[in-house]
Amino acid sequence: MLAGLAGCINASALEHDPDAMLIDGELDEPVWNTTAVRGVFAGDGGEAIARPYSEVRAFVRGDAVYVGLYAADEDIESTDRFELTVGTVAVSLSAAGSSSDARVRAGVDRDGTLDDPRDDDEEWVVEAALPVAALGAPPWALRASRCDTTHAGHRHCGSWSTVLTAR
Amino acid sequence: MFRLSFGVACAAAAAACGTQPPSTPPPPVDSALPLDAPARNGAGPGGGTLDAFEFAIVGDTRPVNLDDTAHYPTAIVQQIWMDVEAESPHPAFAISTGDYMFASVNGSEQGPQLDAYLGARASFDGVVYPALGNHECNGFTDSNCGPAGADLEPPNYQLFLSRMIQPIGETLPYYVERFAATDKSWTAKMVFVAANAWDGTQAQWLGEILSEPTTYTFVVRHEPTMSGTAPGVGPSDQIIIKHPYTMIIAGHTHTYEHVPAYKTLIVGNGGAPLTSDADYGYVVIARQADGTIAVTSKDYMTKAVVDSFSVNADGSPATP
Repeated sequence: MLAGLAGCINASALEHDPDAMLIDGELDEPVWNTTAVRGVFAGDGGEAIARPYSEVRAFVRGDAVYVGLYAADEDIESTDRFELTVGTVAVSLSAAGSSSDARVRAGVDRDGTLDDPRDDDEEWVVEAALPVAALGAPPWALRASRCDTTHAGHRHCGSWSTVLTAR
Repeated sequence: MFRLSFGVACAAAAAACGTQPPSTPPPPVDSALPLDAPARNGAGPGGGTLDAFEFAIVGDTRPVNLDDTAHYPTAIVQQIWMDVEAESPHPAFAISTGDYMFASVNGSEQGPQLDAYLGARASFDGVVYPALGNHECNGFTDSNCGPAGADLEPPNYQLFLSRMIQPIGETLPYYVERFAATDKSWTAKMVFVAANAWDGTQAQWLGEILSEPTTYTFVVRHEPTMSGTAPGVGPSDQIIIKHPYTMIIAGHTHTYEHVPAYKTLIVGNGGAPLTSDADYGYVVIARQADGTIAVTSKDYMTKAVVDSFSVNADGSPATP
């Protein structure tokens, strides 16, 4: 639902299977609001809620772990990224839509301009699918983190962790 | 009495500027209301007469994820409106800067999210004038709704009109509220621009409304100048800068920010996910005895003053 789109799209799968996941950065499949575990990032400086706001959602379906990462961001840069670890897989997922691990499919949706500090941006969202086969034996430790620098020049880091089970 | 004074002033201003009445009738934006401040004591549909010019600003309030009504930031929004209600003196009215929902245009969460918002807003006992946000169109910042808009009138837009605009006596997402002092010492207009429902009719209306002379002019528009992808931001800016104004009040960016270069106040820290260092909060604006406008930003939990400054009626910084 945000402006801007990058990543993998499997429209034909969605067409034939209403439960298919479209990895496009839009967390519009109902499962993201109903089934997924949800965590709000805490600030590494002890803040209960990190600034800028970030959150992670995750669930397991079939042969994949799906992770949604939300980043409020007033200045989106192509170097902005989440660091995500699930089981034995550690991957960087950027606001530009890149995934550092080819096994991890990722799409990003942005509301704002990339690499233009002159204006005010709003947010970017990563939707990722990690193959269960690559994660090691469950349960899987999940940790997501992010650092960001605001217009005011303040750098903040935050993270959230949990343990995912196979079901 | 204000009907006469405004009418005379408008005619005088038009003559002074050498402008001619428009060849076509003005759009029926406020056709059911007088072209001046209603002679009502207190704020209501169309505006009113006030003993003191003091109002609050709240926004944005949408949830993080699409259709996630279960995680609507109701508790934060309610606390903010409770804070506003507890302000002393009690604000005569409040304005909200847009984005009350994050709902798929093909879904059914618009109503439940407005239920959550309006329920929380009810903690404030006063009229609230709302601005249209991009999420009251189709969610995209560059979306454009309305009968002539490329994105037409999705449920988000229709429900915004029926549940937030019509209760204040308006029919369109752009409108003006006119206020005047009980002792006739000042006049003010609050001009609500719908940058996500932009068309030529609104452009013509905006020029006409801004030509009405008032002591204070506040332009309320969801997107600030710095978020220029909304269809009406650039075009409305071109109209606004041709007229005197006190301040542009915006939201969209989920933070509090004063941008003197654009005479803009951003109040977007009403519950939506925060984009910067600011905490959730609200702003109170109050006319001072010397005619300056005092702006105070407050934290929603502690009510501590986060920022404060004053401007003159023309928006220039006020000398302490």
